[in-house]
Amino acid sequence: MGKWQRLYTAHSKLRIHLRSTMTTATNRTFADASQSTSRVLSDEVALRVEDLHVYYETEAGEVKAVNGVSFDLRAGERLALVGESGSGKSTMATALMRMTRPPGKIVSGSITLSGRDLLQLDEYEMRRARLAEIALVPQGAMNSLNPVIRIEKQIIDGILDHIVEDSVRNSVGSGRSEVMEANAEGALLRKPTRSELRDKVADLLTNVGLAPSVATMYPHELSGGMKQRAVLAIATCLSPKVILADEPTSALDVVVQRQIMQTLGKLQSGIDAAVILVGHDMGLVAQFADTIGVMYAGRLVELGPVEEIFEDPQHPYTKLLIESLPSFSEKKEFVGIPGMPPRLLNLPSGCAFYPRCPSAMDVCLDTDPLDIAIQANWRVACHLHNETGSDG
Amino acid sequence: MANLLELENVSKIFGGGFFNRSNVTIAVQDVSLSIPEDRPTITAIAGESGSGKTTLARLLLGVVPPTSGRVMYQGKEIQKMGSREWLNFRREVQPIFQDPFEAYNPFYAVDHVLHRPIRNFKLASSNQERDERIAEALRMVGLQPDETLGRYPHQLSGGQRQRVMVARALLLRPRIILADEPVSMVDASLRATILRSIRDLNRDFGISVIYITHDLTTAYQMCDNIIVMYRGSVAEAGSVEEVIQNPKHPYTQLLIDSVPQPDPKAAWGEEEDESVDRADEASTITDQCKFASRCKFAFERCTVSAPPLHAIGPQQLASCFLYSDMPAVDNADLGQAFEYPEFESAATAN
Repeated sequence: MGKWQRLYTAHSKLRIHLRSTMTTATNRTFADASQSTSRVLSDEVALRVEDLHVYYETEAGEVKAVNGVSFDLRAGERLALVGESGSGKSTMATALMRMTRPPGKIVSGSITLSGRDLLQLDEYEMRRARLAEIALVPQGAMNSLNPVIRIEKQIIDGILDHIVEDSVRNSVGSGRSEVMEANAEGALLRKPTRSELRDKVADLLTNVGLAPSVATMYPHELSGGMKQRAVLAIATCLSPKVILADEPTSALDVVVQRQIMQTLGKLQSGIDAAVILVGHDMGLVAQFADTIGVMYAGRLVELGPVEEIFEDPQHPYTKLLIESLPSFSEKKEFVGIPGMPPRLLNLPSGCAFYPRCPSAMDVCLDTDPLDIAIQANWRVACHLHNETGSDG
Repeated sequence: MANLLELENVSKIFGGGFFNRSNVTIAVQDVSLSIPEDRPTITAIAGESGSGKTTLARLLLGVVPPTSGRVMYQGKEIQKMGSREWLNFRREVQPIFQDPFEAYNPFYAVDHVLHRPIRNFKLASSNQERDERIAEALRMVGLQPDETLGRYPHQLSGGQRQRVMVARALLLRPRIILADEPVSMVDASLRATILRSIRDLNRDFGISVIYITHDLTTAYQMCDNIIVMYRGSVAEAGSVEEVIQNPKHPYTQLLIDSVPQPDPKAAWGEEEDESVDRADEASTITDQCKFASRCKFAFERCTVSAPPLHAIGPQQLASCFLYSDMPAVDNADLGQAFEYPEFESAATAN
């Protein structure tokens, strides 16, 4: 453990260097956080997204999948992005990792993480930032493990790639040096020894609720829930500032889903990371998130605290989304949201929800609704609130 | 009263072999169920993955033969049907599958999946009659024929594709529709529309529906009765009101507790202990209650013998020793505990 502690400290140095604006964050430990409902959040901003536009170039024209999204993610905050398929939430998630592939293109905007704009980094810096500062738990995470490599190797892979300096990464570690040397950037000058890595993997697996013996297993030997836990272990191995979970439990049963989400919550509070949960399961959102962002046609139409929004949704779309949820409390007629989601190709001016909106007005047809602040950390883009609020 | 579809002590065991008796998976163990001919119902079969619910569906469809027991349709055993009876069975029992994206051949317009069954079962004597029937079926599920026909699968949304699948099933005038997770791949807002069109088939045309799902909330909203399965055995069965509102089996309680309620103030259950790893063990032949290793109420008896189904009430059966003081029912036909709704309100529902 002692050796590992030093390795960890060296790694922290790297992080401090990278995060020049941040205060020191050494020796973070996994603590058992109580699952209290009212979680207190600091005002420190972990991730700031400003006016992000992601378009897909198609033969028929530009598809504006993410069309001017801005939000602040506070440290330790759990933000859920919800919306129908085609609302741009998965495009949003890929763009945050800067993994948008052609024909998709990040057209403009900025993604500021730890004082740096991710969109301005070069490919090498971005690659370094990926697991270490913003980690992804992919959609269908169970299928994202390599079937022919043991779990241990798959976890170590990411660690080695990020904390060891390039020149020594591919050389053989001596395993003898007791002193952890680090270069100016804090990257290690030698490979961690096998036993150090093994200890680290065992720690990580224990933190996600798996037995350390899982390390030597292959993915096919694990159940869906266990694979998902292994993926969580990979995502949290370098204590990232932001964990991006894209529908992490969509293929799992309710019992396992709850266990995984609770594990994710525990890990997140332990390393004080912020979580962005992308999905369409409003039940899951209600139970897990602090803040909910509702996406419609590439825009964030409502963003605010979960409890208040479920109590009193301000955007008509959010309202319909919440009303269409089945529950155990009463048997009611199935209500869907009338109409179809709009095609994002050549979106006309005005509110995109106008054709389906039960309270549409004339002004909605030709004027884009602006974001209106209802209260602190709660805003909505709808003309219904023009009189009551001020432009935000 | 004749039964439309009937399972008689059906078991299905996968794996094993002549030399390997130990390494087997019991997918379905000793299930008896009857779907009556004259009282159409919607029955949910619920459970986590590996609970045997899809194997049960495949047994009901006749695509896998049972290892023991009998599957009967209108009093005839499916596996012993002649070709004419088998053709009739395949027309009257229609499946709707989980993934509306994979059910289509992308090279054909969606018309193809609607034309084929009509041709295969010789349901129309002319092309005009065929087109009329297709248009009628599409309207029944809330699709506009002229907006749907002639399009390719990628031009339709997931919800539309799944509704075309419902229309296809409807085209054949089935007696039973077997829907295997029909909405797990579509958005929450579209779920409502699809589930409503399936339920309308039940109300308006008297088609019995078997709805296989792991989503207890939609099962509660849509179904009359529910069967909760755990690793191949029936844990609890009965009317959906009784089972969901007043669950008796510890497994049903765990399932209901785990469903995230769309209300931030509702508690999301207690964290379960480290039993997750054991939950996915293959179901092998044991003499104990299959849920015992995860059950917080487990006592000595649970590890010695398997509990029979106990009649908790007139419309609820639970397989658990906690209810030993209730009468045990051997070879229980789960259908006896079901509630059959009256259909006076059918006209107003449409």
